[in-house]
Amino acid sequence: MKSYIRIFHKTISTSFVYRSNLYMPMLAYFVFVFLQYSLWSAVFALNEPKGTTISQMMTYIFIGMMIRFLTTATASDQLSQEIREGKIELMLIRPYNLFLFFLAKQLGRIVVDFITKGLPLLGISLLFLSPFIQIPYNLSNWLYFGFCCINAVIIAFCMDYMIGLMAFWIIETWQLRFLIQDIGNVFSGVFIPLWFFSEPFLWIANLLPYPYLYFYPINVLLGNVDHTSFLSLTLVGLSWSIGLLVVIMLMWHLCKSRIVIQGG
Amino acid sequence: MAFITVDAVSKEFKVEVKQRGVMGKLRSLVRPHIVIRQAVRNISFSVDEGEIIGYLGPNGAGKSTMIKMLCGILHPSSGQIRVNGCIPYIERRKYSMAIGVVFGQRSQLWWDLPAIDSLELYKDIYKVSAASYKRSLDEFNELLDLHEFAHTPVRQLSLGQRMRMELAAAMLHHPQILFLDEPTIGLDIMVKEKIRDFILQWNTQRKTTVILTTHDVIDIERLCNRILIINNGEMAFDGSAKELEQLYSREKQIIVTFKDAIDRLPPLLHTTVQRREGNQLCFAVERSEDVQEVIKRIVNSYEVTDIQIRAADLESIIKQVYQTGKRDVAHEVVYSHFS
Amino acid sequence: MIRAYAALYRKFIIKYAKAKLEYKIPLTLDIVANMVNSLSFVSVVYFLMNHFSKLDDWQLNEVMLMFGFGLLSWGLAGMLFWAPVMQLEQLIITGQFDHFLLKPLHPLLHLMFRHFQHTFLGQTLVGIGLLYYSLEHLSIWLTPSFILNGIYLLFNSVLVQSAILIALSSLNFFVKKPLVFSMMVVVDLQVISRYPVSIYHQGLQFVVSFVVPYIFVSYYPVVILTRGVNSEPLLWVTYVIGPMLVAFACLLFNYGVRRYDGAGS
Repeated sequence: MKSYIRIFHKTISTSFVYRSNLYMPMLAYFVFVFLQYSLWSAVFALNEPKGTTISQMMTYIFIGMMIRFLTTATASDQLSQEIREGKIELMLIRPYNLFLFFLAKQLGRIVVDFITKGLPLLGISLLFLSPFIQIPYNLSNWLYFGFCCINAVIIAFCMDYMIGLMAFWIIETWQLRFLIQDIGNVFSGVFIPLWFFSEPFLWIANLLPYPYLYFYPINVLLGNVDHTSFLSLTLVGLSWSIGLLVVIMLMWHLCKSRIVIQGG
Repeated sequence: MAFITVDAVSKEFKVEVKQRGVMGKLRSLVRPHIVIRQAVRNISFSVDEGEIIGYLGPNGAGKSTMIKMLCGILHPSSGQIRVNGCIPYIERRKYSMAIGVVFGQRSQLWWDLPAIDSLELYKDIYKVSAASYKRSLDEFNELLDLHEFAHTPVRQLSLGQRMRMELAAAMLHHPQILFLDEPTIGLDIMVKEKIRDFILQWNTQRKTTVILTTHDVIDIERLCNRILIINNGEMAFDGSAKELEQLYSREKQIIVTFKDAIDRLPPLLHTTVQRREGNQLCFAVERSEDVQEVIKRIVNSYEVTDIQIRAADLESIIKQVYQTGKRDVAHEVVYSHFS
Repeated sequence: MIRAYAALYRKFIIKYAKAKLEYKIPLTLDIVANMVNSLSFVSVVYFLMNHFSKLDDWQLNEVMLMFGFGLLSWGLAGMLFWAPVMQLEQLIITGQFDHFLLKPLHPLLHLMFRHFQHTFLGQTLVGIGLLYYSLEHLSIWLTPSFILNGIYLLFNSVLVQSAILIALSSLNFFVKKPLVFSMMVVVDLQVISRYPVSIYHQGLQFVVSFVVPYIFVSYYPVVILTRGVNSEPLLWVTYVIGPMLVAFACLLFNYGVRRYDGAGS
């Protein structure tokens, strides 16, 4: 357990060493959020759609940008590279669990992102946008929100980890990763909230785990979800988490036998 | 008028110095600490056409910087470089037609394409005629066995195959000067020999001037008719290998094989341990007159199974020149200890 | 001389294609991944317009046309010039860029010739699809003059995109590791610029017109094609901005190369 905490710490400290690694991603993220705000404020300024207010939209973006880091997973890169380079055997010899190793790294990464991108953005948004941002004061909403976030982290990490493991079977994983991410960007509500989806797409979205990464947590905090809906949301979300974990265990079992057969 | 003239050339760089500690790191995030580093200090030399020059020095001595200036990539902070009348860093495009370059670690080949494709593309880039191209290819095949792997993608080539390919790409347009930066590093003996033969052949037949940096002593012995040694940005030696040996020929090397392994030698004046292999110790004695005394002392204190005495070899001489600064200091300490 | 370069490029493309076509599956996957990427942005427009029906003055098919212009010009420009932007940073770090300075070929051309980014075929295909879809649904007479106008404007958009890419790659000579910044410009800023720029507030409009002139890529061409060149003042600049920007970007690149001090021991 101690070693995982150490990995967690190390990920955080190494991120602060290089100037270029720090400022640029920060700026890039600010720009991204700023552009989101610009687009939506422009859209809403021109016509008020039925059902959604500009305040809801702005709050959506605000909450969204704070939780974006929970689901931007980067483990698959390193994982697939190590598999391809045959370093995986070294990892197996080490006395810790590969999955937990990458999870610790991911959690460290989340903390770093929150500090370097989330907090500054929080400050700037509160300065300039407080009239627009309205989050209902409801303790149960916040609790549900917290739970949804944890769930989102697990699902996102699992999906990314699975793609990393695919390196055992396919040569290049980056196409798969981009595919999963691009489809995810649409169906998780990063680009556009699911309120605006037309029927057939909404139906598809509900079959996928993506909304649990972004849209549902935000919706919960916005107060758009009542208690009964939340229950069913929780169940489905949890089953996605558990389901993915089971699939990973199966995949890992297959992978291990593959290593033994192939010998690297 | 020499072919290449380097006249009082210096080069300095602005370098960021990383700070230690949390406060230091934070401070350098906002305002970095910049320091000026002198890579090359007032170096002058000249090269005639057809010479093969070994440009040596410890890592960080400023070798690559000088090579880059000779190629035209960098311009000197002060001083001037002239090659056959033109200034490399000013007339780079024209100059590039006259030089060929092999930089050991950095490839100039197309990574995804079959090796031969790189040569074909360079043929067009350098405007080599079809006849000349064919003749060069034949020569490459004969001397470097290129045909064995010409159709393999470059990323799948072994290091030895890739270096031969780089050499071919560099010589394709029959340049007047060939710059080699560590061309034989990491290669097996067979390939090294092939490459050396190739360079020698090209040099004798076409009077190609060759400037190479290397850490391989055999490269120097076999190829270079002149050696330039750089230390700390300054020229420490300029002359032939023979001159270098004569300068240090007062030194003798003693190789002693002890019966049992030795961990400590008694303090011996004017000697330095150079190599240790198992029970065998090789050390250099500065003055040949001391050799007898040193051997007497050793034989009196230890059991010895074999002793060889020989003149210092090229490798240890070069190593000495690298260490020159340090050795002067050591000199002083030893003397004061015994006076 | 241009003929010589064209011949050299053609030779390189043929060799590159031969090498890539050996692995058909990754090749198709590359293109599919990029198609999905482009479609993800298009889907946003689709949902948006379905819900809001009009943006400022613009309806769905016109915005689709803007996206079509954007994607197609991006795809074509990217095939040629994306590699310099992406690879230059690593080439400089590893020192391989030194080789580019030692060949009789201009470094920018060399970078182009070094790698053909075939993945952009994905964007190109989606762009063509969008153009087709939007033109079919818009009530415009496809006269020869309209088509010629359109083709020239498209060509111009490709030039503007190329100029932006060249300028971004030359950043490598002035700043360390500009890739993250370049990605931000080329992905986020570009997507925003494909919507009708008139809806944004002044500051953003300024950025997209004068700092990174994406406005000439999607918005203005469609304004010209649907509302005519006289619907706004100075719209004719669009016709000449392409070549001008390319020239400027090349000059910037040359200046950067001259300034480049191959740092390292």
